Amino acid sequence: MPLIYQIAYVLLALSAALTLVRALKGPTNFDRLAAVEALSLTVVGFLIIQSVAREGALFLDAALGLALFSFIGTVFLAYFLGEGELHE
Amino acid sequence: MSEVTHWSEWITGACFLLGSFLFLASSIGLLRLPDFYVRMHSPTKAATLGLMFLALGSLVSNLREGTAAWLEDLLLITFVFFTNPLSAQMLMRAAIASGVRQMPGTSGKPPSREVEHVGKAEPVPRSDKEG
Repeated sequence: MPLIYQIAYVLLALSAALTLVRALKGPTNFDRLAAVEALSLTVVGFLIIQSVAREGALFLDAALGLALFSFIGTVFLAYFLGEGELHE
Repeated sequence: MSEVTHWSEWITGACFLLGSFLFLASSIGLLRLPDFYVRMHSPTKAATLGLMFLALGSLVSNLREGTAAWLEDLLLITFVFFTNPLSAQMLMRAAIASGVRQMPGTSGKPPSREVEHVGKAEPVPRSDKEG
């Protein structure tokens, strides 16, 4: 079972590295924002695996809070980047 | 772990492997696809499904242990299922509104105001709110 956790950690770390490359070289700011949101979702997945591997339910609280604030931050940054033209 | 692994732990492990593989596929798509609008569907669909699989594995593990934390996993699955496509939609709308360019072979245009108001009903006068 710890081998599966380690494989999942390696896959998530590779995913975070590739997402970070997109966040660094993205042509527009929307690419960077999408990449940062995907990166925070990767961190949420990492926290979920940690909560099972270490048997601590506090990691799940942290994961839920991070997902919530990632959503709020993405919506507000999209609002500001689109210059307030989201609702037509 | 010295004791015999329960069968539900294999479900947890399979969910974790599938979820992290989906995360990897989503990041590869985010890196390699050519356009912003094309690129946007990979962190929307694949990462949502990957995170739901990870939370499902944690839910199975918490159900086996008998703790009440599976409710939190269920909350996380529901929350991600509803909010991640919503934030992607907001991001795409902002990109359309600020004129991010498409790749050359794209068929179809982003919805403009004329397209949105074509319908069976009579045209609604929108002269009060221009701009």
